[in-house]
Amino acid sequence: MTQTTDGALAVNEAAVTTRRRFDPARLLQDQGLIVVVLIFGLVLSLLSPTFLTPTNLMNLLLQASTLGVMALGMTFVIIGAGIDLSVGGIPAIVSVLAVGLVVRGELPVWFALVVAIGVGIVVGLANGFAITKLGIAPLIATLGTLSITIGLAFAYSGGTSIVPVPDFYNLLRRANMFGIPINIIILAVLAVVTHFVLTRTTFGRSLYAVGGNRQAAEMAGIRTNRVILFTYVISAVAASIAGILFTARLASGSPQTGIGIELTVIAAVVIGGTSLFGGRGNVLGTVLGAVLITMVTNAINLLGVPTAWDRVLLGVVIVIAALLDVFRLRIHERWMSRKAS
Amino acid sequence: MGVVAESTPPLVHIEDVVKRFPGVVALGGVHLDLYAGEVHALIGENGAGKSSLIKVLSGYYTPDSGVVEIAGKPMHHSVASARSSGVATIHQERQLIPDLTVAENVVLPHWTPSGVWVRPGELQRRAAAALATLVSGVNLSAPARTLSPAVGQMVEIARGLAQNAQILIFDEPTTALSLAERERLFETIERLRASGLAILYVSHNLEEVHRLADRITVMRNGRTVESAPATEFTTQRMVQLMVGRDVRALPAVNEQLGETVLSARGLSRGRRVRNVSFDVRAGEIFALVGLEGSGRTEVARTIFGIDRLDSGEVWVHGRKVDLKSAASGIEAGIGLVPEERKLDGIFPILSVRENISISLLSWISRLGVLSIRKDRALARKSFTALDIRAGSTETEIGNLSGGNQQKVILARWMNRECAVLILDEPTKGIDVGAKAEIYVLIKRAAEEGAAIVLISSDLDECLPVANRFGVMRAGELAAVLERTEISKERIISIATGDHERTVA
Repeated sequence: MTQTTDGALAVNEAAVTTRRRFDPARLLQDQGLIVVVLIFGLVLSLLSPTFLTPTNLMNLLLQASTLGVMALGMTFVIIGAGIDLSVGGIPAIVSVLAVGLVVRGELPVWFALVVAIGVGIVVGLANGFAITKLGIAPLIATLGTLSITIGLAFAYSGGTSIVPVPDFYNLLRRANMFGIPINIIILAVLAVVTHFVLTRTTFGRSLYAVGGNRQAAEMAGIRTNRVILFTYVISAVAASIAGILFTARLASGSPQTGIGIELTVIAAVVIGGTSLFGGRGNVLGTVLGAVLITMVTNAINLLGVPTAWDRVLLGVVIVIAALLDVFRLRIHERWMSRKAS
Repeated sequence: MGVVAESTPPLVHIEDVVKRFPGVVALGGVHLDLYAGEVHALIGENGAGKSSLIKVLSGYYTPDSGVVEIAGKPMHHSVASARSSGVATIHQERQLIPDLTVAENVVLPHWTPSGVWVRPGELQRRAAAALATLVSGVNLSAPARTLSPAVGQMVEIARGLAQNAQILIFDEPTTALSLAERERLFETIERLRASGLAILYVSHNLEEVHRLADRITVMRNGRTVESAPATEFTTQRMVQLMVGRDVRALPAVNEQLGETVLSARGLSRGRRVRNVSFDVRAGEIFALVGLEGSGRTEVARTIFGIDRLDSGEVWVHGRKVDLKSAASGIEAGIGLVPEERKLDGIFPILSVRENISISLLSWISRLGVLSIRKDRALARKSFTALDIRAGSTETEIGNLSGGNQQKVILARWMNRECAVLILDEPTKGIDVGAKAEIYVLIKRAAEEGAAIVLISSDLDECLPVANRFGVMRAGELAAVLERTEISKERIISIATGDHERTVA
């Protein structure tokens, strides 16, 4: 307890610790998901001999990468205590524009890419504007843009896939560095950049503050609206990039691209330990969340379970991960109170 | 009217009730007897324990020790059983559900006398019966949000009557009312008394207490200090009892004042801030005092820029400040330590280090990239300068004591060397030892040349440290007093609007 003898401030001579002391509870809280992923991997490798082959692992990562890119963007939004459903529509509009403008409009590939991603950014700005300036709840605002983007994608494409894709996409599909597919490289680079932005920039620090206590952030002089608007733009850019990657993988500009993926993206972020209440979250968790979700799909394939069960198993994994999160917090709290007493 | 014979047993009997919270004794031995057919006024300064006592009576708090009896039976401490034993509270803030109809609000939560089915006709009849004696011409089917504060209050009283309440508690019921509405409320209360209800009237407005009370109980520091028939009190005696013993000789304050730093001119915002003007000089501590709800916090928020002004200007160091947000106030050199530390001050899940540097991010960054080294250095410097006690700079601030949390918020502004530092109830919820330290820091900031605006409800605390006093009443700056001409009695009588009567 704080006590002074004469009201004057005793100068604290002892050196002030600035490093985190080793804290098992915190370690578990931060890295608990690694354990889950490893155990699930172990079980899979026992059940299926093909799981631990390099080809399968690479394939798994390749599948996780597009989801992971979107989840990185969503991490910003959710740390800021928001939600972005429109990522389920942005890949579709990006995909049909990026291919359609070339195939039907006879524009250069790079120009089509700029326009497509530009449209994605406009959707992000619209989300941010509707939420911060107009005061519409994030869930509703982005539900609206989700529907609008999908609708526009269908309208533009006439409801059918636009084929054949320009050569650029075939090159992108096969591109690799040192034998590692470009998608995985992109995910890795973006993960590092995201980590840096979250932990080492004024924007990142402000974002945790806004998500942790918006009122206090405003009082501390942070321009909270600007911070929140920016998270939706980031998420939209991530979804646009994913739209390009999807287009390459599917080799078509399809209005079906990425439809329904928004909930999977949110699940990856939340499984990764980002709090839906805002203020908490980290990149490693998000990437692991995307990997875990992809492992479920992978398991279905390897074990020969009918694909219809995919969603059921995914749901079970989400609930288990959420439960683990609750336990983790409980253990953390118990540890804190034991330390305090 | 008149005092009921004491031979009848009291309807409510409270004896030696104690309620403690970590670091604070909210109630330290309260005695009170409330009889049927009387208006019993409960008075005391802010923080004297009136609200805590109301919460005990309405079942929100379970006392740590002591006796609470209602109609001779020990009270069961829960909200539901307080209600069923006949206690109804009319809160300062409206407790109506805005989208339910008036009728539904009256019968809330007893939609139906028994069973499951709600019959609209029966519901309306019950509501009408309860409202009939109180107010006429109210549309029972209108949503409650359409009601004026005065009529809303009547609906709340009707809710109490519909539940067969025997004991009505009024908590500062006149704050939102006009003069005419007050008079109507007083007449209603007198009628309720005549019909045999026991009424506990909580207020710090002594005029109202004079007008209504049969009996008065005075609280101070969580205890009842006097309980007697109203005829035995003069206003002066009430003030003396509320305040306690005379104020001791004041220690020296900083006399070396510089030039005017902060100049507030004609600040106005809605009904809570009305044409407030004052100047504060470098090194000066200007105390802004007044009752809760008198507009002190609102004045602070408009100067800081978090709330927009309807009209008026804020000048700092001779330059007009363009106030658009807290960020613009901070840029102009204004810092605010908010009253609600948990809501407006701290980021509970961030570390102490992150909480310190959050208002200083531009200082520890280049092109938006943070220097973790500078961040750590800033935290270390603040720990030493303000004697912040925490396991490390990386501890989550939510785990710190209130006093240390407050030092962290002070560190934000003291590191910036703000020209103007506004502190809203800086020692609220802080234990005694840390309070003294906070005041040492405030005085240090003044000595270093800041203009300080200190908002406090605790006159004992701010009297010794402030150079001048602005007394707020109903959104206006009712008086500015020099240090030489103040006394607690004078401040309270101005703040309660009683001074026309008491000032000799």
